[in-house]
Amino acid sequence: MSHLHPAQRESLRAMTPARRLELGMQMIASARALQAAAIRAQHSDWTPEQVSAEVRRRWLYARS
Amino acid sequence: MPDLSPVLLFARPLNRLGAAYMIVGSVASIAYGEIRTTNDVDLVLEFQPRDAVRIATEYPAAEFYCPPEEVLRIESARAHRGHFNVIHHATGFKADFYLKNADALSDWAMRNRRRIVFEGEELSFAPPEYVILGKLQFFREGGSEKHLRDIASMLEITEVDREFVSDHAARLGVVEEWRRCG
Repeated sequence: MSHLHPAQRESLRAMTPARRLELGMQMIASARALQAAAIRAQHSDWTPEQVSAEVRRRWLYARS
Repeated sequence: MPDLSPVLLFARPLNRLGAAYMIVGSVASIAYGEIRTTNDVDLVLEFQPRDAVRIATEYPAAEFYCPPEEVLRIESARAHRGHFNVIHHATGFKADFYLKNADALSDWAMRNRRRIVFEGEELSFAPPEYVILGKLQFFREGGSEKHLRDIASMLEITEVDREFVSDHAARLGVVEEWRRCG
């Protein structure tokens, strides 16, 4: 039940577990930054604190 | 916005305590398989009632939601499947702490933890076989396909002792789920 592209599989295999973990954590940080940007675009009048609170709320109740 | 790595947020205090723990679940599947996002960190922890105060101190109320010490003591007294959550207020990241069961498989996993250094911190991960067996049980209980996808990627990326997994899958009653992973 492979869902990885062969090239993707080779790239991932070439990495150490620490590197995959690093990229995973970066992906989470990027996802949160992107979400904050989307919220800012949707609510241009919101303060940075309101944007942060909304990101926090979405992650707390997200299904992973 | 504080955007600390969720794995460090929850594992660093355990390192400070010198606690015996192992990271399992989605974060372990990232280390062993496909890179993806997740909003929680699952850890298996060796925990005694006397550790309740130390845990509560390491996850202070100003920064974290942590259950009251009394709840931690009650959970630690369970023979099987003790569990509690810790939530980081500023980010909404959540950790699920599963208290280590007194069984041979969990003992084996704890003895065979893998050390991964991440941002200068040495983190303890369960062996991939244990992570897979855990995900098979979660799939049986909740039916979420994400577990099968995680398992598939771990099998593709990391060397896994499939015979070991098969043996324990039979004992744990997840043979059908394991077959689906091919």
